[in-house]
Amino acid sequence: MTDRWTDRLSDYLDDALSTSDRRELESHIRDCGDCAAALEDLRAIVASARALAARDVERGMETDLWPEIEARLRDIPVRAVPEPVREPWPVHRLSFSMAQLAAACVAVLLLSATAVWFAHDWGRRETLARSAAGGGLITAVPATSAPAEAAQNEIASLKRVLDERRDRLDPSTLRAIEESLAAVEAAVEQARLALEADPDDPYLVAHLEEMASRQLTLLRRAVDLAGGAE
Amino acid sequence: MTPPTTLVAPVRSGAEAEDVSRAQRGDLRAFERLYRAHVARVGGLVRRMMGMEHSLDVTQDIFVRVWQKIGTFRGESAFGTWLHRVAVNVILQKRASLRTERERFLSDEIALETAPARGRTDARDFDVERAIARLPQGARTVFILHDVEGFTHEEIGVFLGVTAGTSKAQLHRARMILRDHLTR
Repeated sequence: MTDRWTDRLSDYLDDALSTSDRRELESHIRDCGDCAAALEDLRAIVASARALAARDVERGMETDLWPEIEARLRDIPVRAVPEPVREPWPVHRLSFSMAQLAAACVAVLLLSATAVWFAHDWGRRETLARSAAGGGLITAVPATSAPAEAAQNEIASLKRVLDERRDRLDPSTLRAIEESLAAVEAAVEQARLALEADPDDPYLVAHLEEMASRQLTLLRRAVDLAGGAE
Repeated sequence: MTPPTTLVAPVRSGAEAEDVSRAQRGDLRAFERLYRAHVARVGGLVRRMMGMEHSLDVTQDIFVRVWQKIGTFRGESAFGTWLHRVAVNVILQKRASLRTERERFLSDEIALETAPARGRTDARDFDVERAIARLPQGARTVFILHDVEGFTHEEIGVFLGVTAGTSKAQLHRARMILRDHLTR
């Protein structure tokens, strides 16, 4: 038994026919006992296949492979993944205490300062990039494309400035900044250690760049908040 | 009839997410819990794709690979879905090392034609497991990945390096071979 619909039965079962083809096939099946029987058999086979996965779970695994797997894993250096970095300031609040309102004000200030910084600094970077390219239109250089020496120097410099101006910041703001910086620095360090163990892993490279970028951004925000660079 | 939407047992609430997070930081006990939650499904997949001979070794290899790669899991899909993708890749690599997968996919013979004949069996009682094992490898691979595991033809195409159309054709072929066996 074969006709032009035979090879379309699987598409029909998988909902892969156009509406018009589906209607035509359904009309055909009403008159073609062979196709109707084939469709019924295929439907039963597909249903049986789908039941296999559930049966696997019911049966479980007869052999416990864990002891051997565990022994193998102990010989493999752990590819550490940094703890999730805490967002510097909470953003989901349903009710606010006075302290939380103050923190919200700080967040708004920081966002504003960051926006100003980005508007200012991004334009400066594009200008520098254009100059370097002889005035041609090129993509702006990312703020931290790698934990390069220049970025490390900037981080050290910003830390010194922030340390000198800590008394200009509200204690609760300073505490929030320091906690966030500690979290980001820990993440950078973990990413760096992980990358040492596996220098070719592109995920770790990208992760370290992202963490270093966050660290730099956070420090710049904090210095801006403490009075900006002088 | 639409493909199954879940490849594995539903995500085990926040507990599994917590175990994934812990395992990403090197916690072997958390990884053991993930292993125990998923090994039955992974073992079934390996057994069908590889046969009994290699199933235990390859299942071990899969969980070792998952441990090595778990740091790259970003939570963009369910953990079980991600784990099964890793599993399929390990299986296909293993099979490729035993025989060139693509050659077999395109040129294998219909093994069921030599299978012992059986009387008409109701499809619901049909020993689909045994019949799957006798399918030609290309058709069997697609049938398992699509009808048992729930991958789409597009995903299968990526796994096997073939087009979605080729995957569809192999699936229909597999189902029709199984039906032939059923109606002998």
